[in-house]
Amino acid sequence: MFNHGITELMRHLPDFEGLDGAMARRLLSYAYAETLDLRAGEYAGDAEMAANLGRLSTALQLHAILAPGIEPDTRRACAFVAAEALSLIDEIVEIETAPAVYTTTLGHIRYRRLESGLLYLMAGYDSSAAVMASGLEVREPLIDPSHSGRHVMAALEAAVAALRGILLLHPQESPKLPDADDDAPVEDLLRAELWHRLGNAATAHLSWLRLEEEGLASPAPPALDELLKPLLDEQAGAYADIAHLARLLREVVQETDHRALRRVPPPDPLGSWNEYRAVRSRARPLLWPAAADYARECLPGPQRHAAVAVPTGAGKSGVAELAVAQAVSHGWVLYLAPTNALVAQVQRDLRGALRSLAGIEVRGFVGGAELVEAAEETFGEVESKQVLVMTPEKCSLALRQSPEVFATLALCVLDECHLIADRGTRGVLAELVVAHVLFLAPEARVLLLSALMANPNDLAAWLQTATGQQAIAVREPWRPTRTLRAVLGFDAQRSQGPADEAAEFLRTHPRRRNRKFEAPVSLLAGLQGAWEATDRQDYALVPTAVSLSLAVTRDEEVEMEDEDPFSLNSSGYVNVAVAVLADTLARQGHHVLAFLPRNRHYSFSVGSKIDLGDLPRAPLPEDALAQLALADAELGLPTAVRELLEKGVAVHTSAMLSAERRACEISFDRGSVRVMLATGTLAQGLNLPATAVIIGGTEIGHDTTLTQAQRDERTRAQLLNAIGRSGRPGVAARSLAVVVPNRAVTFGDDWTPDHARDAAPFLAYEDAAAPVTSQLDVLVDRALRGDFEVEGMSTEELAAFAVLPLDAEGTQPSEIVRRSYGAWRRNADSEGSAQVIARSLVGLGQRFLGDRPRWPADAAYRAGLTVLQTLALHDAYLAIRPDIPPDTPQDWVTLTVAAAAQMPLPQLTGIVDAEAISSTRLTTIHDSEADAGPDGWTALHELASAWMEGKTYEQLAVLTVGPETAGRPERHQQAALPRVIRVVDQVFVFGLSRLAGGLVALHQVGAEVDAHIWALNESRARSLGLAPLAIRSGCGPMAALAWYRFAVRQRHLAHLFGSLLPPADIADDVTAREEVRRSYERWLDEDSDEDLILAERSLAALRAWRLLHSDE
Amino acid sequence: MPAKPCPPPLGEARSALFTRAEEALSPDHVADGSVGSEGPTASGFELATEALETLERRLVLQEEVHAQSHVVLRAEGLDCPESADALGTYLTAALAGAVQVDIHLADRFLGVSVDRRAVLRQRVERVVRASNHLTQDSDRHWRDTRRNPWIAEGIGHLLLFMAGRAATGCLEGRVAALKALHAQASQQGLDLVAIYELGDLPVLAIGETKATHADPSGQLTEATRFFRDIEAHERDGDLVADVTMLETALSDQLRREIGEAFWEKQYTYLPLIVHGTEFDPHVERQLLAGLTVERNHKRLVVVELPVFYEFFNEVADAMRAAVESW
Repeated sequence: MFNHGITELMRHLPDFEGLDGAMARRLLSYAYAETLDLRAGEYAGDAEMAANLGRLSTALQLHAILAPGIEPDTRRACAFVAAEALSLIDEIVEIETAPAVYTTTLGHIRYRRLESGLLYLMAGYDSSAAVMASGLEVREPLIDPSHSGRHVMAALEAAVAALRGILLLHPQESPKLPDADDDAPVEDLLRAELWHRLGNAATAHLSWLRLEEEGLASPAPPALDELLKPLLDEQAGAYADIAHLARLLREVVQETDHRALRRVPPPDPLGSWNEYRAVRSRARPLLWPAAADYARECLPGPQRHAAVAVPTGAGKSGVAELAVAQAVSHGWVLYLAPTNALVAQVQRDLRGALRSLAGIEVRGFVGGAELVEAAEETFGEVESKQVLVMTPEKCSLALRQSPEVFATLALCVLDECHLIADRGTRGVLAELVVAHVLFLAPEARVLLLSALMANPNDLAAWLQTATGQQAIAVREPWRPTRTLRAVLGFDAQRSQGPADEAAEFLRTHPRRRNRKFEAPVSLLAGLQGAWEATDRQDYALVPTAVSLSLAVTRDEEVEMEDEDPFSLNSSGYVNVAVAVLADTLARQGHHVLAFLPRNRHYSFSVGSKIDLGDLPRAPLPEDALAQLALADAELGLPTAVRELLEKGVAVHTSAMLSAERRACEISFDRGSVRVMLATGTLAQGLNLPATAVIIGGTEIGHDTTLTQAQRDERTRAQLLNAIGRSGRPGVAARSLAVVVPNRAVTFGDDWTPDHARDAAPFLAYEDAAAPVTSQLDVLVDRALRGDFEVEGMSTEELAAFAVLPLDAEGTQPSEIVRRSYGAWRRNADSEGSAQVIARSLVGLGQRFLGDRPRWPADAAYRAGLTVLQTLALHDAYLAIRPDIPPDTPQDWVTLTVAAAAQMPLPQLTGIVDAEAISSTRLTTIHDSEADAGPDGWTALHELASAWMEGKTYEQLAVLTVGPETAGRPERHQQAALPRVIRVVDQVFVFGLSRLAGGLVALHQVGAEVDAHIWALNESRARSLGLAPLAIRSGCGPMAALAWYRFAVRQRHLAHLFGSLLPPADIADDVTAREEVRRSYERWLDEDSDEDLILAERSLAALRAWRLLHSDE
Repeated sequence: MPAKPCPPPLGEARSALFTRAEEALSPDHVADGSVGSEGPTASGFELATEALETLERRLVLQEEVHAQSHVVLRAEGLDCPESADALGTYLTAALAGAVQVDIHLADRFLGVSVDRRAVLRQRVERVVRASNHLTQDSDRHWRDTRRNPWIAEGIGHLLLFMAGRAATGCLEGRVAALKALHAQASQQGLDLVAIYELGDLPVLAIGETKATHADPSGQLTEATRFFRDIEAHERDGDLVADVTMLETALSDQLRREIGEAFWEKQYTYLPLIVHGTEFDPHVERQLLAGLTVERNHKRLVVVELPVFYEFFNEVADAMRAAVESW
């Protein structure tokens, strides 16, 4: 349950006989396993366990408080373990002794929660402290006390409210104090006063943390010292309860002081820093350890580069936010995130964090990497105080289109920076983007962030070498929550009887081949952290009340050989186990994130097996419902996601519309649904914390391009990443991760840890962190040796050459490459190496082009296609080029498809991949033998046209798969809708749009070489420039495209508005934009659309959009 | 006990309780302006000291070694008017010390001066009322469940206090720090908490007192249940608060070791039963035997008072008289 950060902390526990970190971890983990209430029957050892927790907690508290000269780390370790133990006691046994023997004291449970919360804060675990705040709400007196007693109780409740505020880092309303009775006993007056002072000190410190107090130092320490000293000097035992809390608060004040956001040194110039600090201090006054480390080493400024490695959910985004908030004072910020979904999330989060700051603008570029000639798709003017969030692909385009804007860049953040080690095109692209930024913006600082980076020192050294600026590595293993890892297996002992009965049934029923029975399952839980330990005592087998259907199967061949013909059949048990376990955990109040990594269609089928509709829960959020309405309109059918959400289940796969995914994210995040079923890709980035994670199967989707070692590595990374999603800071201090192995495990009395470890070997690793490597290593080596060959280049090399200006006259490509991580790794970052690399690259460019004109290489660079792809497009296009060029974006797309049909298949990699169009009418593009009806290219053309005309997905399904798919909303593996979504996402949005961008680039560059062939008049050039966007957005007609570009980034509504409110003048972008914006704002101001004669789904979509965008 | 040499006094840091009593009962205190016009008489502290010396002379703890499950300590010498009177004075002095603490704190935190004698009288009457005239059933119930148990707790406190001044046999080592006497019978926290030294290491002494005329065995069972709760760590919240409050009375060495002592279950349980009818404390007690500490750390103190109610009445009278005579 405990990661390396905590294991390291526990090394500082005092040297008591029989007490060490391993023992403490075992006890705490086992106790947590017991709190899960999964156990079948009662556990006899609860009382003993609670006693051991108490003993542990009390001994360590006494040591932390009383031992003189104790080291800070020892105090933190004691505080952490004591807090964990205390917080677990109440969950194991209900103890409330003598709640009101004296009416002016706290009950034991509330006192313990306060103690535990303050100890967590002492140890630096803010979100765990916040969990302890529940149960500390203001209470009415339990009995009717005397007037003075009432006064004391009111003071007590006020103090508890103030301390609760400290635990939550947010002030709490406290009860009004009645006037004290002058005749009250002096000890009552004193108790009231002491509670009052304690509460005041807590409130004052919180106010100071929240920057509501101006003083340089918190006023709490002197106030608490003044409170404590007389009490201790006098040994005033009658007030021991108050004194103890005061003492803990004193420690909390000291610990939180140095992590206060207000302690971060301000940038110069100050910019909006003070506003930011004031606003954020109110919401989140303390820095988590990684941010505190970063602030100490890199701020003000940021003055240094940094590579920050922190576990998932441990405050990575907090580091970035801090850096961004300072950097915008003196330049603009580039924030790179690997996926459009993450870009959207980062944009939302940063807007939320920075929204109150004057002049700060967060712009998200969620488009693709295709070249588009549209003003809103380019950077334009980038001013200081702007934060531009985008994918590396989008940035790569910007670096080539608008290199000049990078001169004023202050900070470049690369989130999930382990991306640069990814095979294929993405890693290379991300690495070259950063290298390019380092080249164009030598004064900018870089912040690399990752939860999966094991070698931040290497990356920091790279940045330092590449820029000559200082760089630091932050490696902070701290995590706000703990995760108990368990493997699900069948319980041999409890299953034996039912299995025997099933076998007996088959014996007596010779014509039956299978007999089902209910098999109870157990969880084998690891009591340390990663499953490194081999000792049985570091694991615990917990029999659960959950059981699954298994079958005894007759094998007739074996039967004929007179051997025992019966065997257990557990095939297909994984998805059933996930459904049952998710249902069980959700019913216990968990937020369950279940990963089904093997197949993206499993989420829907498992979801259909779960029905939590009977559980009381909040209604689906309005914005989630609005997203569903948008999805309905896009699909032309009621989305299948709604039905699942109404049963309390969310799904998240790539075979969904973005509106459907967003509806699920919102519903899960806000607690309206308790189960989220997702593919492995969700594990990579999006922040959807859960208190329980289920890994449904230990195999991931098959990728035939990988070697076995690579597949193992990817599996390990993805599954560990999934485990890393567990933990919901502020909601639960601990979480559970259950692995359901593909190969069923059975636990008998003789179980050993190896049983489970063999089934889920990745559990032996703490996390998926691995050394970040470079896919440019080989390229750099080859460049240094000068042995590039055009033939046989790897995907990575081709991707690199797609974004390097091979034909440039200057030294730009080599300057970029020598600043790359790969060059640093190969010691090729010197001037001399740069010259060698430059010669090599120019030579390669020449070999690519042979005796052909060199200008297509420039077009390739501009479009982000490989030179070979661009040359193929060039040739294909010239072969089919009509005498009169098209006038509309749609016709340009048609021409692009026609050109693609002429290109050699190898050059269509990443444009129209075979996997993307499998099991559709397009299959014949790659497989001429396939029985898929008419010509695939014709089908693709029809489909692209329908897509751009705004046809619903239902209509697209008919074109993609066949007429029998009409009216079918299903999402299972054989259903049509997932196939359509795949074609749209991979072929239209990602592939054809870039190819259309290639055509744009050929015309732009070619016009300077041979105007006769390539030059276009202004109108046609504009239509071509918009073609990539038309295919990506699905908005072909200019009116729809104008609405999409300038107001409504949603295909169905863009078409709707385009037909309802078409701009009169679409020839000019400026005019069209103004008109569309005016119409849009007028529409937003209106209350309803009921007077429009529209289909119900369209009306609902309009209402949904208005709801989602009413604050614009 | 009287034959033993003069015990070393509690060290300066350890004597806060007694210091406050001394201060509270000192005539000099009249001049500091923090008390009303009816300040204590000059003889208050001397009377208290005298009472303590009387008790040290008369009160004897005899160890009886018959029981396997526990040690029996029989307290003798209390059942005489002189002892009852001295005990009353001691208890009032202890309350006066607590009052003095409150006076200091009130001055510090509330900025008010307090009529010490009035407060002391109020506290004394809270625990023993203004007279022993208890005729109603409810009065007698109060007597049996509040007054007498509080006085019994006072006996336990006295025994631990004396164990800080001399080797009395109550514990196997010298008491280094002792929690102040509760100012009322139902105050929060544990009744009796002390830390004593065994060798160089601290041991936690926890007492639970019962006053019963006719049910000593049942009350011992009740007291033992309390220790069982202690072993189940159900009272740790109180314990931590009480022990950390004694910080200034503990040496660095004891403070360094106290956490580990607790971890290693270095406790001594002191059930103290004040009873009026016959009772064999040597009978093997299953519950007591079930407590995990070793036999020497289960020390049953029995105080047999054949004139049970009269004794408590005499102590109450002495307490009230002490207030008025100072």
